[in-house]
Amino acid sequence: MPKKLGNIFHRKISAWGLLPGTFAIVLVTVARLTGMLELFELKTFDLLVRLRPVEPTDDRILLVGIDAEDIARIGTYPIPDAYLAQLIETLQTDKPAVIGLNISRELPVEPGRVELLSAFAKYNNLIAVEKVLPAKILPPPGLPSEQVSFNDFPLDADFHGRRQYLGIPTSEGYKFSLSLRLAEAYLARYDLELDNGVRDRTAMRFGEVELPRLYPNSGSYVGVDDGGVQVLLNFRRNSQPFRTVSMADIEAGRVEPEWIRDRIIIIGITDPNFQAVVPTSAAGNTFEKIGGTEFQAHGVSQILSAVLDGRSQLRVWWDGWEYLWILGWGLGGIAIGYRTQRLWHNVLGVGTASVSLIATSYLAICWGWWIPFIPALQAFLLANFLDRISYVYHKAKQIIDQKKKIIEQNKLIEQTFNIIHNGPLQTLATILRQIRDGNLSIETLFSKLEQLNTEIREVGDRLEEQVSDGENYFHLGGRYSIDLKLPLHELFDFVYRDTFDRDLFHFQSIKLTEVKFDPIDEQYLSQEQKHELCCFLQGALCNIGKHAVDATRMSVTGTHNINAGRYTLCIADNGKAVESKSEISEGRGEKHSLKLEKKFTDGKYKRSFLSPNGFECKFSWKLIIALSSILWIPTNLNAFAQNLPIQNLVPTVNTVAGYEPPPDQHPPRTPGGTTSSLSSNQASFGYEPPPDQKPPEDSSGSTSLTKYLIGKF
Amino acid sequence: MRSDRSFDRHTSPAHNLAVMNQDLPEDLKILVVDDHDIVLDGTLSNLKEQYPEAEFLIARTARETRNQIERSQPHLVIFDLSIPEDNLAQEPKAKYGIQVLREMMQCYPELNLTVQTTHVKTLIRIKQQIDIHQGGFTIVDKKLASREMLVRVNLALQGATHTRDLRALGRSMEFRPEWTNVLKLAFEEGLQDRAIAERINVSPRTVLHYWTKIRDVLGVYSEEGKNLRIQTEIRAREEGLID
Repeated sequence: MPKKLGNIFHRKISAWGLLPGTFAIVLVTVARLTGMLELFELKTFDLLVRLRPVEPTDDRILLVGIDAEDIARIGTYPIPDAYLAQLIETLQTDKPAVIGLNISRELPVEPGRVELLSAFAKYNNLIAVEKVLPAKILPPPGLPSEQVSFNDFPLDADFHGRRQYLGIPTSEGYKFSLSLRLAEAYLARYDLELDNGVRDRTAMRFGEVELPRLYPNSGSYVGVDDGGVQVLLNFRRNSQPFRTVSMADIEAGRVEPEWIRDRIIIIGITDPNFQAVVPTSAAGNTFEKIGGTEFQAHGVSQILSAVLDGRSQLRVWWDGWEYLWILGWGLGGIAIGYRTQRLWHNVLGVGTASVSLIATSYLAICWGWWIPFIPALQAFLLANFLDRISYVYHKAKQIIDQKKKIIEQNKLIEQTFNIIHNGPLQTLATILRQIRDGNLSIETLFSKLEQLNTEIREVGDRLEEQVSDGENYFHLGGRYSIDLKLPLHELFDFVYRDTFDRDLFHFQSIKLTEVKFDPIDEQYLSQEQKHELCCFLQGALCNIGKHAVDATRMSVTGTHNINAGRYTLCIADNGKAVESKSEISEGRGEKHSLKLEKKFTDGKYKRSFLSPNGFECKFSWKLIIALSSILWIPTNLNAFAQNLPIQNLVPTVNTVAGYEPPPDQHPPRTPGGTTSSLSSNQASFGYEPPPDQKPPEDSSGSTSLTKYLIGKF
Repeated sequence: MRSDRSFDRHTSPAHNLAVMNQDLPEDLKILVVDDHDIVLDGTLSNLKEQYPEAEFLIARTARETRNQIERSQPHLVIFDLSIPEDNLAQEPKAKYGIQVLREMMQCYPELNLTVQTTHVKTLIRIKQQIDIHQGGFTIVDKKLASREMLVRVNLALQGATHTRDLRALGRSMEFRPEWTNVLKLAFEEGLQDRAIAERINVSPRTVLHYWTKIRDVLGVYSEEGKNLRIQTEIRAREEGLID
C-alpha cells in the first residue's frame, strides 16, 4: 500500500519542533565561524591524511643529507664552504636537472668561500636559499635572482606545518620559494612554464595545472594568515617518500648515476642535532615532525606530481558549500530524529549516517577534497540529540497533560455529582416525601416540578462556569456563586444562608438556629479545601431539610479550638430521623464526606444520633500552614558566584617541545620594512605576482595560538 | 409573620425619642456619610432638629470617612453604604462602604453605627461581624420614613442593635450559641447578669452586649414603662426558646 506523504514522518513537523535542531545547527555554525572548531578540524584532517593509501616513492627527487657521520668526519660545524663546493662539483658530473642548496650561506664559512661562489657562477642550475621573513638571512652575495629562493614555511595555530609558501612579496621584490624554484627548473624541461592561474589569477599554474591557492578561511582555517601565495601541503604518503643519501655516499660514488641524472637534488642538513624540523602529524611518521629539507622535498614533489602525473592536490570547497554541507547534515539529524520513534531505531540511523559521513570525508580526502567533517558530524549529532530530547520532553509532557486531563475530568464528574446531589436531588426527595405522605396538591406538585426543571437546567450552566472559573468559585443554588477568596467564616455564612433559604420541607418547622463560624487564618486552607468544606456544609444542611422530621432547632457552628489546633464544623438538629437511617448512611453525601477526610490533615468525620431526638454531623481537621507560605528561596545566589576563585583562564603559551632552532639561523633581527612597490622584472618567467598580496605575518604562530586559546575559553 | 409583629412595637417613636435624649453625652459628635448632597442635607436637617446640641461632621467618600473617624472620634456614624472610594467623580459602590464598615467595626468595636442603604441584603455579607460588634448597630432602609430613621439612629446611640430588616427573609430566629446560653442562664436558672458573666467567663459589659443582640433577634426594643428583661423573657417563652 502506498504510504501517504504525511506518514513519512511519525511526527507532524511544526515550526516549534524544528527549533532545537535549528539551534544546534546555528550553534555549530557559529562555533566554526569563530574558529572554535579549527584545532579539532585540523587534527581530524591530519588523521584522515595519514590514513590514505601508500603512494610510491618519488624518484625524481634525491635528498643529499649531511648527517651526523658526515659532520663527525669533517670535524667542524657549520660545514666549510669548500666541502659544499666539492659536493656540488661531484654531483654536477652526473648532470642533475637542478640542485637546491638548502643551507644558508650569507656569511662565508672558510675555507672555500671563493670555490663556492664560483660554483654558483659556473652552474646556473644551482639554487641558493635565503630567509625572507624575520629574522632574515640573505643569500650568498652576487647571485642573480633566478638562483635565489627562500625556505621559510608557515605554521598553523598548533605549530604544525600543513601549508607551504610558493611566493612572498618583500621589500626587495617578489621572492619564490625553494620548492617552486626547483619545480620550475625541472618542469622547464617539459616546456611547462610558470604562469598566472586561469580560474584564479593570483594562483600559480604550470601548463594546464593550477596550484589551488589558500585563503584565510579555506577549509577549516579561520582567519589564517594567507600572506604571499600558499598552498596546502599534500604530503606523499610513504615511509620513504624520497631517495635519501648522505654526503659520504656521494663522495664515495656509492650512488647510482641514474639517481642523479636529470633529477632534482636537494642538499641539506639531516643531522638531528643541527637540522631544521617541521612538526607535523600529517606526514604520518611516528615523531610527528620531519626535517626541513624533506619538507621542501614534499613541496616540490606535490607540484611535480600534480603537473606531470595528475596526482590530486588538496582543494577545498567554497565557504558557501561548506556551510550548506553542515546545514544538510544538521537537517539530516533532525530528519532522523523525526523519522524514528524508538530509541534504538534512532541510534541505528545515527550510526549508519555517521559512518557514511566518515567514509565520505575519507574518500574525499583521498581524491584531494578537504570537506568539513567535524562540524558536519557535530551538527548532525547535536541536532539529532536536541531534537530527540525535545521529543522525549514533549512526549512526557503529553502524558502528564493527559493525566492532568483525566484528573480534571474526574474532578468535574465529582463536582457534577455534588451539584446534582445538593440541588435537584434534594428537591426531588422533598417531592417524593410529600407524595408519599399524601399531602401534595397538583398545583404544588406542578410548581415543584417546574422548580426541579429549572434546577436541572442550571446544572449545565454551573458546570460551564466551573470549568471557566476553575476552582475559584463555589456555586450556591441557582444563579449565585461566591468567590472562594473570601474568608472561610464568611463563606460558611453564605452557604448556610443560601441553603437554609431553600424550599426544603423540614426547614419549615425550625424556629431557632444557632449560628457561629470562627474566623481562621487564610494560610491554613487552599481554595480547593474551602470548596470541599462549603460542599460538606451544603450537603449536611440539605440533609436536615430532607430528613430532620419535626426539628425545631438547628445548630451550625464552626469552632476553632486554639489549644488543639483544630477546626470543627458541626451541623446538628433536634429532629426525629428514625425512618431514614439507611438513606443517611448510604447516600452520596456520606461517600463524599468520607472522601473529605483524605483531603485534610488528620481529617475526622463523624455522624451520630443525639438523645432524645436529633442528629449531629461533624467534621474536624488539624490546621496546618500551607507549605507554599513557608518556602524560602535564597535570593543572594550572586554572593556564591562572587566567592568563586578567579582562575587564570588564559594558559601561558609554551614553546613547542621538540622544536629545535635550525643551526643556520641567525639571532632574530628587528623586522624589516614593509612591502614596497614590486618590480616585475625580478619575477620568474611569466608569473606576475598579484598586486594584493601581502607578506605573511611572523610564522611562529604564537600570536594566533594565544588568540585561539583565549577565544576558546 | 414574626417580623410583622416586631414592627407593631414602635407605634409611638417620637415619645420614645424624648426619653432617650436625656442620657446623651454633652459634646455629642455625629458623622454623617453620604455622597449625595440632597440626601445629606435632608438627613442633616432632620438630625439637627432632633439633636440641636450636637456637632455634625460630614464625609462624602470612603477616604474622608476614615480620616474623619480617626480625627474626631464621633459617637455615632450615620453611614450610606454606597459611596465612592477616593473622590466624587468615581462611581459609588457598596463594596467600598462595606470595606469601610468592616474597618470601623474592627478598629472601633464600640462605635455606634447606623447604616442607610437601599439594599439591606448587601449587609448579610458581614452579618457575623455585626453580631459580635459591641457598639450600637442599626440598619435603615432608605425607603423608610424619616421618623423611623430617627428612631433607629437613637437606638444606635443607645448602643442597641436593630438589624431585623436583615433577617426579615429568614424563617427562623438566628442566635449565636453564647446568646442562647445567656437566655438559659437568665431565665431557666434565674441568674443575674454579673453571675452570668462569671459563669460564662466574660465581662459584665459583654453580657450587656449579648442582651442587646438577643433583644434585637426577639424584636424587643426599649419602650417606656416596660421592663426590658421581662419583655425579653415573655418573647423568649413565646418562641419556645426556654421552657
